[in-house]
Amino acid sequence: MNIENDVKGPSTTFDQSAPMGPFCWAPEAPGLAYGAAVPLNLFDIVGGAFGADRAPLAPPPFSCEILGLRGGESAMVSAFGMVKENSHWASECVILLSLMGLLFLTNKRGPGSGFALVLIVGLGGLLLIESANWLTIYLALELQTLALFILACESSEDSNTPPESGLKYWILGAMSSGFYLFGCALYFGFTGNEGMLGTILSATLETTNIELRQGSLGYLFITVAILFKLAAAPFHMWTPDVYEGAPTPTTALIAIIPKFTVYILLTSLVITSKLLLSVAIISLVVGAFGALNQTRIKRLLAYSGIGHMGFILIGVSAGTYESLQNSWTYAVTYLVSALASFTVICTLEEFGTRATERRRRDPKDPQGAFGSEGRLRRPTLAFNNNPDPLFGGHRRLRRLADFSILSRGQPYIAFSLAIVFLSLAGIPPLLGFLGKWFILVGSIKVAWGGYGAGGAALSIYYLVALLAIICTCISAFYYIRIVATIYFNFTRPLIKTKTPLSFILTWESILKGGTSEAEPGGGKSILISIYMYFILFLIICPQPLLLISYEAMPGA
Amino acid sequence: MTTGYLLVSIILFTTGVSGIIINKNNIILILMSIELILLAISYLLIVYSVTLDNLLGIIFSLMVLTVAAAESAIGLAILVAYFRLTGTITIKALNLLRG
Repeated sequence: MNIENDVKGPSTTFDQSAPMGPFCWAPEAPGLAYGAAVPLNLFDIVGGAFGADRAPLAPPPFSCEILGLRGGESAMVSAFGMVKENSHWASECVILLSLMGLLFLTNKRGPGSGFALVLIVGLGGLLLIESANWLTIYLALELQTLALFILACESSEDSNTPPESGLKYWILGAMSSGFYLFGCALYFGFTGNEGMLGTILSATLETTNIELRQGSLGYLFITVAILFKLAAAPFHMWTPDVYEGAPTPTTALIAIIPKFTVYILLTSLVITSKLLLSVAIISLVVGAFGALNQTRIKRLLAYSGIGHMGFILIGVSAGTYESLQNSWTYAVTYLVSALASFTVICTLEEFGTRATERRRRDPKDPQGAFGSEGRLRRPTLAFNNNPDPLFGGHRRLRRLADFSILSRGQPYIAFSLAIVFLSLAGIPPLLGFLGKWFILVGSIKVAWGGYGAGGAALSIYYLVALLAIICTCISAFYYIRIVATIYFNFTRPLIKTKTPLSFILTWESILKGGTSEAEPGGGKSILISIYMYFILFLIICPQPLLLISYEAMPGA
Repeated sequence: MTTGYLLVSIILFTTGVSGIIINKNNIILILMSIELILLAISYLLIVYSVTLDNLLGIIFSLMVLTVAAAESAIGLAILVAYFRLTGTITIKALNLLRG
């Protein structure tokens, strides 16, 4: 074991010569496996000892045990082998910023708006990141999901729709937390403590102690529960239904905050990389093929999220510092793209709502003023068979066909949406390409480096990169089909509209904040502009993002 | 030593999970199955806590019971809202969002 290289990896501060990102193909890639890297701190280096040599059942100091949070330099943190000064400030900043963006999505104000519940979801995410033992992780997860259950029950159609997606989310969420708790109980029983430590597992792989192996059975249950929360592929059944049934601001919340925080939690754990790798591959395939048949936009975004989670899990499963940083970068780029897509869809739904309400006031108005929203839709729910079509729905932009010729009615919104979907597909100058590039180069680098966690040969990552490219090509089909629908679908009659040009960037419309129907209200235009800036131009200078990802992941 | 207790807990847990998976009729049964899962876990935690002479397991099971109460309260609230709008609590009515 080349101690020199290992010491250099985690302990040196960043300088320009350090290998960072795929821009630099350092010949000595840090071959340090993550499984051995997490318990690595200064004392290990001095003692020349790695996780396997440490007594795994050492009694924890009791100082931080009650609080259960990673309190900076507490004794428990170093005793449990967390890397010192492993602060999660970058991830927390990302969560807070995206929470700010998510709070703009709903136009409802007042006590019934669920504002506090959204904030509770964010608080649960922050606590989840800072948690250091299984109990606090459980409590933070439940704080998050219980608030989300309530939010998902609110129906997007009208008040007469049963809270079906909330019910499904509740059943599957409760079952997954049951799995999590069963794993915790097994783990507690076989190891005697409830800390979240990698030393046990890295000792488990080499030990012949049967009890520790059964403790790793508990770890397996916990992993399954976490993958449930992440909606990775064999455990993804709930996502399309919940995305479809929930109102769009809640869908954006479900798609972004829990996934990102649970992903950060996943990187703090040390999980068997083969399991993660197989889940990543299945997620890629399901995300690519599952969305091909979808005709509804939110179901399509659900499957798209599954495929992107596959990409993220490739980076996590490779397990080196660099691949973890790449996966963090990918998660942030996906987060920006998802936020942008949901913001645009919320804006369009808001236009539809305004058009409906105006038509409700004035029934003689022949058609709505908008090309895409002018069509009245049949109510889809059987018991919601309202004879008056003006009141039966039309609040949502559901089907892909509703995007037809959006470019005529809403040129700037349509351009934003097209750019977002091209970015999700990974077309080169956009943000999504950046993340995919890092993940692919990182996985090839891992395969080239040769050895990973436990000394296993990692040349399979060549095949994984190839499969990822193929799945990206397949999924690019349905993304680009949406773009074609936005611009070139002439099957529906054109409706001339009067849209004020360049309303996104005029300060007047921004400051007015949506008094007319054609302007996005509530600051959404500012949000879309910011997202578009990042999506279009971040690839020119991605170094700040890479520096932040260097800080964000363990081992920095 | 704790194998018998572990077996009881595993049987209860499996009963709960299969109750969720197999059940085709009633949402109340799903609620009961979830309670069964959580109680099996609490049982296992308390058994291990006594065996290992470690109070953390009991604290854990207290927290589990508290959260389980909150979770079933939310579940019942969803159920009431569902029943008001559909007039039934069968699962077969759940196929609006196919899946």
